[in-house]
Amino acid sequence: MSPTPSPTVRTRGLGRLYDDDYALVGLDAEFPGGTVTALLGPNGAGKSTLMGILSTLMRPSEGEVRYGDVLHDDPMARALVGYVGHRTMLYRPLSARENLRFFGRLYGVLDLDDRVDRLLAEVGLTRDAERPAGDFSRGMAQRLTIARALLPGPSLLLLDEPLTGLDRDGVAMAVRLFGAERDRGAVVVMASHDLAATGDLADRALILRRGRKAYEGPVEGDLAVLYRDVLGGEAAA
Amino acid sequence: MTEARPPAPRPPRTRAPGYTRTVLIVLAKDARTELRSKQTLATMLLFGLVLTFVYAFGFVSDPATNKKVMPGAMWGALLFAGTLGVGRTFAREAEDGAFGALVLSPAERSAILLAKIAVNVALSALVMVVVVPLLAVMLRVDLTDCAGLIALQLLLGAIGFAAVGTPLAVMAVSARFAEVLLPIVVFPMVTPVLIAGVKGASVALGTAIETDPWPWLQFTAAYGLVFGAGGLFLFERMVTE
Amino acid sequence: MRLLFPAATALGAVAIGVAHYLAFVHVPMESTMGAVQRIFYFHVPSAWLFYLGALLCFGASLGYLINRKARWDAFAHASAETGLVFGLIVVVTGPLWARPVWGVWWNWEPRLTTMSLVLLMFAAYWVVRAFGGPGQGVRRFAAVLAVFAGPSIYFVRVAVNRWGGVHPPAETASRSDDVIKLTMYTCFFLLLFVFGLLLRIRYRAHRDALTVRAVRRRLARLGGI
Repeated sequence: MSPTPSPTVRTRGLGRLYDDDYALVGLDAEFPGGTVTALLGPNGAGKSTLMGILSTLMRPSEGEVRYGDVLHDDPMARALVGYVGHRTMLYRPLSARENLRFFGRLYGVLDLDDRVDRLLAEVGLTRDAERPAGDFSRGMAQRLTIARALLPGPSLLLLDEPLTGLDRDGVAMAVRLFGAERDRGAVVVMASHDLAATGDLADRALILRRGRKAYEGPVEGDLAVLYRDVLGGEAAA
Repeated sequence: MTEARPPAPRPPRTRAPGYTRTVLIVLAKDARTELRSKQTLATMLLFGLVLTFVYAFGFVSDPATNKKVMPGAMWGALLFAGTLGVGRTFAREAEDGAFGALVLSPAERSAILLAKIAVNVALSALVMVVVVPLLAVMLRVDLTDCAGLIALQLLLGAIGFAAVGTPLAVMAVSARFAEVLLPIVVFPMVTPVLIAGVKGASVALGTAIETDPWPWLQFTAAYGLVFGAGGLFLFERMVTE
Repeated sequence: MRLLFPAATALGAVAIGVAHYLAFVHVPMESTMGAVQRIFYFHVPSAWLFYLGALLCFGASLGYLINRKARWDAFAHASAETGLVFGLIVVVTGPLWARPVWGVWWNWEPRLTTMSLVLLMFAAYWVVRAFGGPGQGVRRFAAVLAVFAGPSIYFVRVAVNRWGGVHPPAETASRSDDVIKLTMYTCFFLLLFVFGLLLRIRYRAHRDALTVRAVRRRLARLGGI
């Protein structure tokens, strides 16, 4: 469906220590271009750690991540990643447009004005574009932070609880946008408590348990059912 | 699932900015943020003004003594106002975790630190431009003969201070009581700048035994250079977990 | 092996006793300063050990920034704490000696000033560790602090020396005879042993704290706690 899918992101023997304890152990996983992978697991299973490492904000203690040919400690890797995290990562005194323009410049986005206009329209903030982000409700700030992540056209889109604070329209918009990113070939990894919304998007799932891989493969049927099947009694956590 | 969806958007073309350009982009952003909120500069300036009164009431005396007190008053103001400044510029970055997005961007990470150091130097310089003449008026010290030298000393001192204070302020945001910890941590480390500055200023004012201001200037410059280079070199290590 | 540490601790206690004997009984009275000079057998080795602690903390912190192994950080923390204990001995014994010899408690002697400033830096380090919270970010903060303290010590020394140029150079026990020197070095090695013991205790404590947190996290993952 997409002309040029982004290269597969691979982890090999990926491990991360915290206080002498592994938060993530020996993870071999693949995230192909043009797919949405749902990243699931109980609290403390290593989801945030994996997200952190994939985003390049955390260093692996062992193993490696490859973004196609690019290794995780190559500064080039950062240009490939778009990240929506727990916090909005915005500057409150700056307007929505200024926030996007600033990050767009840092990524060296060409035709920035067009790109910003289109993204503002897509996340439904055109009318509020000149208002400072500090005045935004949580939902509006989340829309803006999604736009910020999409801005450079990342080949790996990391979504850590991306639906936080969004109303029903917002969730629908986000799901549509993330789907479009997948369709243009991006690697999308999404961790969310909203299993229904995640299930609408996900083609694949990576389920972690206690820092290890419990399931990696396609999602056929209901994501919530798959999750319960894999984790059994632990799924409640 | 994909029935009436518009065609997938083409990704934009990108060209990562070079080092200097990154510094300028971050600088422009901070300047804009500051002009918008005026928070940091206003608080620093007001704090500087309050300090001048504290010094004036505490030390004002006969002209000869005033001349001896002047260097300490100036450099005390630079240090106190500067600490306030470095803390503030990063409190804003930490507010909604924006610093994370900054660090995640492909921009050279040390360029971000360089820009932040420059911001802090600029803020300190702006404050000193107001505070030093005011101190001179209040303590009735004539600075006209040595204004250039004193300005140079303060500028180099502000650079040395920012070179140490800025990376430490970046690191402090993840600690509890960051605003209290920062001065405790920064002050002992910048005492060489303070000593060199106060001594250099008393040389400039002619109240010291020495008459050559250059050794102190060189010392302050070396300090700024060593910590600036060290910070830039280590910054990558500092901001990744 | 289980008795090794208690035995070493007992030996450390003996070492402290021996050091006191050497300093207060064995060594002859120094002619110009009198009894108060005996403070030097603790004062000077303690200063060396303080700087040793600072050096170890600097090295381990730099290592931690590079390899991110929590144990390196635990070691840096332990060295700073142990160094601080000896630093405290230095700043307490210094004025006790200065008062009778120089007539003042404090005289901005360059070495004393440098020492106090470096002590303040590591006290700040300790405050960060004690009150900053347990997170990874705080560890990195502390590590950067210790790494910056390294070159700082040099600059403080240079600045303080030049600043204190008006004062006459300090007269210490440097022009002393062989017995005094030998006693000084012996005391240093005895105290070095105590330094090693303290370092080990603190390192163990921090390492165990890491283990406890790791176990707790593992239990939390299992749904306990």
